[in-house]
Amino acid sequence: MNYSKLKLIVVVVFASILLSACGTLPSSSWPGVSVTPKGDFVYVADAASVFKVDATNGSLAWRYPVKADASKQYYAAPELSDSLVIVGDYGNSPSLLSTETKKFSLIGLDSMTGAEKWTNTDAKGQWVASPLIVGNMVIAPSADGTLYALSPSDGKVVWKFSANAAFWAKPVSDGELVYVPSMDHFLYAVNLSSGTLAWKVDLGASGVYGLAVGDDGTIYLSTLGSEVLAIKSDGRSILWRFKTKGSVWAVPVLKDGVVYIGDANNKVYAITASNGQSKWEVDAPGPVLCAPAMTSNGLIFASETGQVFLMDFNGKLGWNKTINGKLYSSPVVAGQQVVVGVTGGDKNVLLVAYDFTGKDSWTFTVPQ
Amino acid sequence: MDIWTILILQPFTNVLLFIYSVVGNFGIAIILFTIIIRLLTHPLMVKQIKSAAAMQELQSNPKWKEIQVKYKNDKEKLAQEQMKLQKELGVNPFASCLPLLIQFPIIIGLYQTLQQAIVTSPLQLLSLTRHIYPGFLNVANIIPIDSRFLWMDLGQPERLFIPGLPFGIPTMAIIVMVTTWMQSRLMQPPADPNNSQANMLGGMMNIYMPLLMGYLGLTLASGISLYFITSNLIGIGQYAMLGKVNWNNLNPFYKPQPVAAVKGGVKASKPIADSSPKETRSLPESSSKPALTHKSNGSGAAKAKKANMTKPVKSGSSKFK
Repeated sequence: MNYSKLKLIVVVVFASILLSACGTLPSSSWPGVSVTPKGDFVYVADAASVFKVDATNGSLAWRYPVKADASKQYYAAPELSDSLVIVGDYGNSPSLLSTETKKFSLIGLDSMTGAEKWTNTDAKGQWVASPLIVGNMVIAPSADGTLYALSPSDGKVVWKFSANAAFWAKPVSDGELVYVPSMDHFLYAVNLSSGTLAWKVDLGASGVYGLAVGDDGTIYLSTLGSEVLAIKSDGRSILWRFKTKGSVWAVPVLKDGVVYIGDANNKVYAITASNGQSKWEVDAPGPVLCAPAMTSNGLIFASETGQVFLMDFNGKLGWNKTINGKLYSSPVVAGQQVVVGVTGGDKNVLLVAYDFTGKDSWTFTVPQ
Repeated sequence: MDIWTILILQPFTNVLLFIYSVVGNFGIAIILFTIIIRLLTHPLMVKQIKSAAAMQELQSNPKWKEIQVKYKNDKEKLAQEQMKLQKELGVNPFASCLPLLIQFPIIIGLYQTLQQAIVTSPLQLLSLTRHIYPGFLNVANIIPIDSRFLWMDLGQPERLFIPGLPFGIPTMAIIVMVTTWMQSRLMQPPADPNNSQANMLGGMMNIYMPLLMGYLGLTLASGISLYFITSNLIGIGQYAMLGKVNWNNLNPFYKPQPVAAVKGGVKASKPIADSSPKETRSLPESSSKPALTHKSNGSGAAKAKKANMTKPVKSGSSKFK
């Protein structure tokens, strides 16, 4: 091989490697989808916009902000009450000569019009998780490691509670205590009225996603340590730990004494809630990184590789549909349909709806 | 997983997180990681500097200039003659590019590793966990990565708020800009009077590079700024160790020592292999005027003429080691 050819080969190899390194960065997160209790509207937060979509036909009701501002990014699923929609952003990028740091806004919107009612910019970190509206309080976990309790009427802070690391999970509450896992490996129980710590328990790994609470008050959650845990309602003991084969990225779903969850190793597990024993374990068509939607026929899962599939409560696969895009957002039930949020969807498709038999209902595309 | 991820991104990420798991401070981990990478690529940098200097010297060689004039209308012949001369003098033009090419992926990989390790969203965390070697590091122990360092959150652009001041000062961006400028200036070879284009390009780089890097420091996560600063300072240190730093360049009032000029040109030069790169400046083959005049060096031209050979010019830089 002569010298010139060798040079050419080396240059081409390096150019190829460099070009592969210059690919576009993925979006900051996946769309956050929520649905009204009646199932008539779906809200989706994705990138620079929050959309309210009619669940019957996929038409757009309103968009916030009316003109998309690319400097702000919304990914946490909007939290809903009768008149209020609360969305949090991933922070605005400071302009070229700005001497301010990023601002992270939690915004209260009018659910009918999408108009801003209030904005709170107290947080110093992103709003990765959805807030929780409970009683006359908004409980908002921020990535700055602070749990904020706000007034739903004006967004003013009522109390704050600090952990040692970010909150990425949506809290739950029984009306007295607020339960929220943190990235600092602890599950915290905080008094709803005062924000004081009731108890905390070491999970052994970060609590990235939310939790489910059983009828007896037992708390079920997954951690970054590839485990599903059951914790006694008083926080004094961990009842059981269930090790999954791959990492788990979703809140466990509880039905009739069984905990259902999928993992990144293409597995779906059914675990007996009372003792943490495996009931069954089956293969999924792809990595399952989100919680399933519950229907009367079974569970509807979404896989990262774009499959939406039904699995009955015995682990038997039913219908299976494929979407061009990645599926990280948990499917939600809206009336007689299941709605799936799509990441990097073909032709800007953001939502896809199926009826419970797997028949296509509608799609929602990001308006240009 | 693509080849880039397997060869660069994944090993870098694992090493950075391993250092973090040992020292427990992400800022220190970034500094140590940058030092390790720069030390590992040090031999490449030395080779590149030497090769670049040899090329620079070649272009000052009278024979090189002679063939450029002789074959200015015949590009093909010119290229042939240039290659012939390069072979004759043992200069390999590719030798200065290859070390640089090898460094590029490493620098880009380092930048991407930092971007990847400073996770601020679940999607980024998912990506990070997939790049960690199973059995090498335990994700559950590493996450969360404490991205606080001094007054900064390494995952966010930095501003320093001083009590009484209504705005934050982008200190890291300023330090990035200053160290980039310092590095560019210190590594700048003395002005070559025979190559005004190169001088102009060097001058522009001294202005635009610090501005560009400062802008990146202003808008990107401060962990990246910490990398830029560490990298710049190590770069200066490496050049200083090689005796290539021209400290006088930091003085804005300093005028580089001019090259001795001579009327009538130069007929002979020392063999290229024997001369010291960057210290030797060949003079124009034929010129009715001195290439560069300087008040304090008026006698230099006459001396050079008398010697009838290229004259080594002392500048702030010393010989290659």
